Amino acid sequence: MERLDEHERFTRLLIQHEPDLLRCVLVVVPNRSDARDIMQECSVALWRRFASYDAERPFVGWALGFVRIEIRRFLRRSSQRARLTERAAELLLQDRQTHAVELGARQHHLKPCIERLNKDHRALLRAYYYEERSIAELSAISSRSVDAVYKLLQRIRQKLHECMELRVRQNAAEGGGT
Amino acid sequence: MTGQDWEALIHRYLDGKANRQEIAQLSRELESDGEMRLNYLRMANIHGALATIEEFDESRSASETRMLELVSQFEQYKPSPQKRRFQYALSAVTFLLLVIGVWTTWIFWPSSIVTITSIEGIVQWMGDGGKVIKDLKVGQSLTGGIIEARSRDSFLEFRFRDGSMLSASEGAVLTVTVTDQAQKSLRLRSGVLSAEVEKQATNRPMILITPSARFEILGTRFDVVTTEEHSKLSVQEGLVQAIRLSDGKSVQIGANQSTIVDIQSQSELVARRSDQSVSVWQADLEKDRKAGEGLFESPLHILRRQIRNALGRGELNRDQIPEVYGARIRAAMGKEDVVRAQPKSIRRGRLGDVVQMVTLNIRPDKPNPVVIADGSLFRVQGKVLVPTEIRIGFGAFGTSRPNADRFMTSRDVDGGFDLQIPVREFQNRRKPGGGTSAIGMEIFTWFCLTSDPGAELAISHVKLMPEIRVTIENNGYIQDMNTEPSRQ
Repeated sequence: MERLDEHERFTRLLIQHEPDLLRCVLVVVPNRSDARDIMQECSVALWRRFASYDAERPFVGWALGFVRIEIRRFLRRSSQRARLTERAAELLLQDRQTHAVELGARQHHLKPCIERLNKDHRALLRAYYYEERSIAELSAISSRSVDAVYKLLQRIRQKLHECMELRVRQNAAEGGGT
Repeated sequence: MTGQDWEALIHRYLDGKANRQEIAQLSRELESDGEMRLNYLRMANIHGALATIEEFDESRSASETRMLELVSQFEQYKPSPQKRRFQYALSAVTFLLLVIGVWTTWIFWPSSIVTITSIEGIVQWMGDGGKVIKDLKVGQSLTGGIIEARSRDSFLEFRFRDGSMLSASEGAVLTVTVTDQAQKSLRLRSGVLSAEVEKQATNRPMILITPSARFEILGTRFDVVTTEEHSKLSVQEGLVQAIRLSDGKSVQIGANQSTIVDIQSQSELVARRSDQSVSVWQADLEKDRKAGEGLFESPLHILRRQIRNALGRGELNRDQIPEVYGARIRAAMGKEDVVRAQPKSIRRGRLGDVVQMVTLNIRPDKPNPVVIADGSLFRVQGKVLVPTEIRIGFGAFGTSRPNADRFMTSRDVDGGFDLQIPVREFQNRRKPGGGTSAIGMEIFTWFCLTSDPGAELAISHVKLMPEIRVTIENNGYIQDMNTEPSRQ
């Protein structure tokens, strides 16, 4: 019974924080399928060590250690594929924690910036990220070349980046928070 | 490189488009420049946030939404008498615009590229622009788009303008396009594609891409069966160039030859003659295991690595190896190599969302296809720490007709086990109790799984062998050498 409760507590925590952890993986391993595989390995490792988790401390902080290990393992395993170096990955993860407040604050501007995109651009983001359609599929549907779809996606993300940058600056000028 | 160049490179990396050299360059820059890292993190965070977004306000595609808006405006429109004169003028202008519109559409609308010649079951076509047609009919012309055979027995045959005939079946998801230069380009995500292709221009071969391979076809008769990681090409006439997507290795497949392209494999691609099959296979645990679905553990290998490291550090020389490591080498030689099951998430699995799994791939670089013979059996040895049910299965491609299926059976095991399971006992996973028999099919993958992580499933031997019908009498029991004892 105790084990069952533990399992339920673990499941709740994992479900609650999995998007945060997955976002962390995606920073270094942007391929969504690879990132999910890493999270899968990580979930198993977390469950195995859950008995050592101190409930007084934040779950994400504890889990990020495991995420780092699994990312490192993945990078080693897939060294034949084109990947960031382990050192670059490690530095990125460290900086992500150092700049957590700034990066977190920027995230609040994502939704309003998406809303400012035109309908076609929002539809493309939705199809690629939310419906997880492949670029080839989007290329076939939109009659654009695969390269053109990639470039459009990159332009849209750049637009979002610039919009978020602007809003952060405006906020700072107004002396506001997020 | 300018700041913009770096930003473009970051985007390319995030989309999986950057090449090895570019990623090495990006890594160096990230390692040395903190500002660059922050910039990277800002952009990668957008990618991460979009990839994990749980709700998108945009509930329909843009074109669909625009269409609905137009329909809604039309329905709300009620003309008043005062505006009638103005409306006549407007109608005239509208008519003119309509004529221009129709003419423009006639010129620029994507023309049909294939005609349906036969159809069975539920097949859906999603054309350019996202238009979906569910009630397809023989004789119907279609533009480029995606064919989806919605069920296993669905089938769609179509003809290109040059007379090339193709058919998609077995749950095929196929994207068909023809470039401005009249080059046919197909993408088969899953299922079966059978084709009889007319002679194509040598500089514009028909291209077929699957998740693991690219095939270049100039004029031939062939079948391709594809799963997520394997594609089997069987050529009946002509020649097809097969190229593995992961590393660009290629081979030419001629008449009555076949090849299996495994995205995970790094070995050479080989052309095998379909009539030179064998029905015996023994797993090489280290080489055959699938990455991420089986952890190879060899006491001897571990020791060998330790010795190599010690030699590298100069802690001992070769002459000292027997003295220092002799006893441990002897002990390790007595222990078996094993492949330990690893967790794998599965969709809609009856055993839950995560299973512990070992997968061994039958290496496709062997010169002879391994075909399941009637009376064959699998010998499987391994161990579990606690009593548990294990499921054992294999994936196989058809040899007499293009198809792919998975077959499975189960056993309760406890501690060390040595199982001998006749292939006729394996059930078709899609149609338990019926469906295609595995006899005569070419095996390409073998797997064993349990839902219990506490079982710590490990496999030490897997062999496909012919059934040996030798019986011995043993205290009133007739024991078949290959099966469990039965009371006479």
